[in-house]
Amino acid sequence: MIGRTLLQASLLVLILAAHAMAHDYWIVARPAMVKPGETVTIEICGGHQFPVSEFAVAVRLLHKLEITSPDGGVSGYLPEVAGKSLFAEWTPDQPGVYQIAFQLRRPREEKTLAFASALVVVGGNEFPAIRPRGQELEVVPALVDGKLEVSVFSSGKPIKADVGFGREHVRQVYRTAYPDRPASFTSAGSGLHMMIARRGSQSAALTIYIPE
Amino acid sequence: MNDGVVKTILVASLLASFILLTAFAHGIDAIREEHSVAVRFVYADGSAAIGAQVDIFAPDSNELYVRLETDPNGCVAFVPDRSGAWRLKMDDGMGHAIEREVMVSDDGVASMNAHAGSHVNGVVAGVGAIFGIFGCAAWWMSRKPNHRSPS
Repeated sequence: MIGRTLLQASLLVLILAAHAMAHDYWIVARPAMVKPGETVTIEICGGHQFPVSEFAVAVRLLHKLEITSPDGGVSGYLPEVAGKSLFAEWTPDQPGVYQIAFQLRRPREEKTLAFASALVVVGGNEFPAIRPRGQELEVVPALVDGKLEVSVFSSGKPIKADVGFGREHVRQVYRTAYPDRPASFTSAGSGLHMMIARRGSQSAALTIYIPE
Repeated sequence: MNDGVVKTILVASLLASFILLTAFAHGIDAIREEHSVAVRFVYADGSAAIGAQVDIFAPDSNELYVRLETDPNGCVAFVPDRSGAWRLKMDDGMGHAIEREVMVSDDGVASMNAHAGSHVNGVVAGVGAIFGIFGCAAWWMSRKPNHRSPS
């Protein structure tokens, strides 16, 4: 019995150690629900405790910072270092769901280490619905009967992966998403939420604002 | 020798010198440097820190000596031009950073203290590994009764 307890404690420590080694990367867009013409602040963050950024990601590693508009148009942005994060400001001009995203890559490498995105709803207060974009790794949420269901995709195909989910300043909970069964979560309330999936050295994060 | 011949020789010599100088301006050579310092940066899991930025500072100087980028094996190399403690500050741009000192003796021999500086993530991984070994032992002890022959 003691051996089993020690085993469980050791596994927990190993999981925590592995998590501490890996940094998460995400985007905070505030406000995440706006009217057309209102300015949104985009913050690219890195660290362990969503939403507080612990360090500024090097601009040289940002492969892209793009905003996809509801009509599918894509525009690129260059953020600036401001303290422990990267900042950019942007003003949406049409109603709908915008997706802000960046990829993190090492110099001269094709492989994306991190794909992070944030959804901004303009001129509405509905739950933002999106579809997979064909990234190497990405998370796609859906609201089904009041529950948040999160699927993980790799190059457009659903895969099995562990998904972390949490509201700002609240510890993440983990569930497993399967190709035929998304990970199901219940939000602890309205606010900014992040969901993140990891596969080897790759990670994919998505931040959304969940209304009341 | 008349003036005409002298002038012709002079002009020919100047032309030859000009051609020779032009040829030298395009010449280049590579010389193997004996006293280079090569350092490899690795993460706590042993993987190479590829494409990381490494700032190198000469002994007793806060002025940047050279900025390098690690190669596909996580390595950088430079040639110290004086003895003393050279500081290497590595930042991978993704939240991992480390500072190390390389001591270069008067005869150009370099050495590095493996435990100089600190790396928080490395320490965490070390603790995890210790607990992991301990956990494996506990698992082995807990499964022993299942291996006894039924009596």
